[in-house]
Amino acid sequence: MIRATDLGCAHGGRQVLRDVELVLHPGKIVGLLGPNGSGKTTLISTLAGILPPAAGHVTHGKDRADVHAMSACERARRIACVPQRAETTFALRCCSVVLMGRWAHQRGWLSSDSAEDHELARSCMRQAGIESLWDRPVDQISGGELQRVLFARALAQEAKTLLLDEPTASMDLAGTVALFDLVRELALSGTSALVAVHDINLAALYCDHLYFLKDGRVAAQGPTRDVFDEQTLSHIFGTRVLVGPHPGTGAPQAHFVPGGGAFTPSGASSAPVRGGSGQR
Amino acid sequence: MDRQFSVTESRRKTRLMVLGGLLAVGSLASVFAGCLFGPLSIPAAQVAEHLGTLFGFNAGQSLDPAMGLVVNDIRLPRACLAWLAGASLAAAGAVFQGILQNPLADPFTIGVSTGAAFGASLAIFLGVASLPLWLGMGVLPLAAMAGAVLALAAVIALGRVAGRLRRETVVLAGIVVATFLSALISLLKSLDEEAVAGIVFWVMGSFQGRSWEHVAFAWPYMLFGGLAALVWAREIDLLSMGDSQARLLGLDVDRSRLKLLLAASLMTGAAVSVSGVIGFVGLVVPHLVRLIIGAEHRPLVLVSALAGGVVLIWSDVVARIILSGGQELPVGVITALLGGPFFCLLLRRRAGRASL
Repeated sequence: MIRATDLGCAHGGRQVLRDVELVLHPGKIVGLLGPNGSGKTTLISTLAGILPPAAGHVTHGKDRADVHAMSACERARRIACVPQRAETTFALRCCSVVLMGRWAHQRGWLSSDSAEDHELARSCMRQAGIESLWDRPVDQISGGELQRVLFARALAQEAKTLLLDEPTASMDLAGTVALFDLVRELALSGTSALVAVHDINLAALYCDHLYFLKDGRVAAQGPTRDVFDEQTLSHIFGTRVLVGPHPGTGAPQAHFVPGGGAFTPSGASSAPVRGGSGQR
Repeated sequence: MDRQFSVTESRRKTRLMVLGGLLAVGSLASVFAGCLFGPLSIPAAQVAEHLGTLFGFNAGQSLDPAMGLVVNDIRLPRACLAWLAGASLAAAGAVFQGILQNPLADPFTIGVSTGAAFGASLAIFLGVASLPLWLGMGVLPLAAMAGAVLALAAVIALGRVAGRLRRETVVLAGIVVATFLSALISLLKSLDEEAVAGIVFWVMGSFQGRSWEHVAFAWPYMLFGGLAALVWAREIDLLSMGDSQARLLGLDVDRSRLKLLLAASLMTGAAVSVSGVIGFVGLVVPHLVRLIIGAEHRPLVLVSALAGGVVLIWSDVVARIILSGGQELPVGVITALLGGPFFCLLLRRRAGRASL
């Protein structure tokens, strides 16, 4: 469980997040939605402990330990994070990248991999569907495959909290569904997950709870069925959105409207939207 | 499936062991070869006999003591020192490239080599060369090492932005510091015209006239730095993924990078202090090794060290025999002739990849 209280964050002298309150409960998948530049990645980096907050604090677990005060190693055992992308300067093998997830658990001055580490890495790669990439250099795989490698690495950390930043951005449809199914499986066994997604329908299908970010603030939040409505979505994303039930599961799904344009709740088109993300 | 994995892993292990074994044997063979070449021609069989006396073998015949001196006290320490310096520079290059995430990084680009050369030049300028040999030799390498560490400190201070070390700014700072120190070396040259030859030779790198005392001075530092790099090699793997990734995985990034930078510059400082600035070994060798065994840094550092030793012994051999009449080239000229085009190739390939 992660709890962010009164969180503010500045990035390069610019205030990116302010007054963010957020809770992740064990066994729940929480979706983080919002237009480009709304602060999703910054929020995830701050929750993951790699970006210091300008205000407020983030605590983890029942002991309410401050995420930014604990050692990096301790943090990596509690929280695993799948970044949006990774630089692959050198051609490490995929298995080496996945085994990096074991680093925080490894003792001994050589921090070498045990047979159990290899076994675990292999099963994580199997879960992520990339068992066959074991020996392949990371600079020779596709973007979607790299995201799965990073996901398998996060699994290998065996952390109770999972932060995912656009984990399926470069994946195909089947890969996306498989990964989200896996996240749901993990949540059923008590993991708490926060997923930043671009695809709001995907979020509606899988998430128990949604947070909407806009201009660095939480604009709306609540259980998916309560907040995923036309009014909220149209307001957040600045274009007209219709909501209807999913033909299979009945989950709410959003449909964009051609010519929906820059949406203003009052309908007064003369009022210019200053600093709105739709203008960038 | 499980069997296939264990086969893959054990095959990889075997391949690494075979390569390491070959390079170890190649190192010994190269040291022997390094004893064969020189202005005085000595047949290989006699060289072997002279070397044999070091290990207690006595051929029984009376050997020429003058030749024994040439083989055992001039050529052998020179070959050993070339191997040690090559191994240190290649290992240091692998470490610098990994932790700075920069395939173009080596002891040059982060200013450590030039720092060491400046330390040595300053010592020469202040008259160290006129001291008795034992004292001069003790001071000159120490001055080079101090220069290396100071240059590194300057680079780190300049490269630190908002409390963090960034790889771009570290490399940029390295170039700035190296350029500035090169200018200072030139200034020293023009102030003290008599010492120009010494400084130039120092800056181009050479093993001429190096003896067992140089080997004895340098190897403990090189071994210490090398072992540190091997022990912390997994941290280089993490750092090579970038700061935020390494931090996510539980690494104290700044501390880890600092200790690895110190280990690598200790190796570089020791190498420069006994042989001058020898460029491109630390750039070319890790790249070639990476093509063969992949980028995991523990095997990379180890195999690069073995290969770097072999490369520098042979570069030194070429430097000795390429000119007729017993003259020799600075070995840095040979490595630069080999490494310069390689550097351009890398630069072009990176540019090509970036444009994709």
